[in-house]
Amino acid sequence: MSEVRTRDEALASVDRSLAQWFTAATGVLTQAGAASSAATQQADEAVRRFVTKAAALEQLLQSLGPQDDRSQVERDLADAQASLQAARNAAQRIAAASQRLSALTRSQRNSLDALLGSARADLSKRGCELGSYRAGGVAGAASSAGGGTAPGGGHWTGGNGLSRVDVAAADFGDNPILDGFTKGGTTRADYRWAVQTWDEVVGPGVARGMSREDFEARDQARGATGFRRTAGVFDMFLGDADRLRVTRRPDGSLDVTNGRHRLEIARELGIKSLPGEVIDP
Amino acid sequence: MSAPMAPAAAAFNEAVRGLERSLSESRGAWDDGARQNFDRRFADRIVADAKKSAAELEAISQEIDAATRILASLR
Repeated sequence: MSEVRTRDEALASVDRSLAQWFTAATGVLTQAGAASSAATQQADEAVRRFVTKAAALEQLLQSLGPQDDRSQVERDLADAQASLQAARNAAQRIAAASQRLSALTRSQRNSLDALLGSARADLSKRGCELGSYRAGGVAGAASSAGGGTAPGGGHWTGGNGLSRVDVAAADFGDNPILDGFTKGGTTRADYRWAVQTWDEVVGPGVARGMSREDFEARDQARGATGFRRTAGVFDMFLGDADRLRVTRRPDGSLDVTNGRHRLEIARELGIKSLPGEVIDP
Repeated sequence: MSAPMAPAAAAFNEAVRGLERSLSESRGAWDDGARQNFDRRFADRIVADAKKSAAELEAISQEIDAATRILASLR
């Protein structure tokens, strides 16, 4: 199974999981139905066999003369009648279980049809929302948090001093990442989580008007600690201390002062822009 | 003797586990209020229904398999 890295991939993954579940559940219940039918047939055959056997033994018993030894035939008849009763009991158990299976199949089909249909429709809608959000770009979508930005605008303005940093234009060739993403005890996965969480959770949340306190409350509710806190991601991108800082060069490329790790991860994830401080000398 | 139903019940259980696993894995990339809402409205209910169905299918398969074993033992 491929790794799920972005929200888009997660939406597709959930949709795929639900579809696979529907196929698997339906297939297994069909298989169970076939096994149940075979068991019913086996029980019916057993009942018929012992009915026939008992009838034949009764007939034989009646045909015996007074001098014949009846004991063995009587024992065989008693055995056949006991087996017949056991077969009938088993047939009843199978019939009752088969009825339960039919009810389960019906209920599963009905609930799956209704619930899965609604769930997948909901996912499709979210996919559209995500597409619309992305069409506006990260900075545009998050611009309402900057305070007084133009609707749909592509820049962070006001007191934040933030604007859109074009990930593709960032250049840190003269200061490459040599620490293997272990800055402050973190890992590459931590950085990936942070950049992705900005792109999929915090940025859109800020665009909807969420504050740092909202993210803090969210973290507390989920017991999030350490590096992997949404409030930490908020600080990392929008705070003064650790925001991305770049200087625009005459050729248009961006010399990165702070944020190389995040920009590198954004490239990996296909994220086009991140909020940051852009110095235009 | 007819084919036992236990493998079908096991396959159903495995499918439920697969569903839970993939839903859980996707939370690494989608875990926000919208996801909680989606889980509450759909995913949690689907998984709960699936587990209930798995338990019922397991019980049904045990009952049918026990009955067919009895049938197979009759001479």
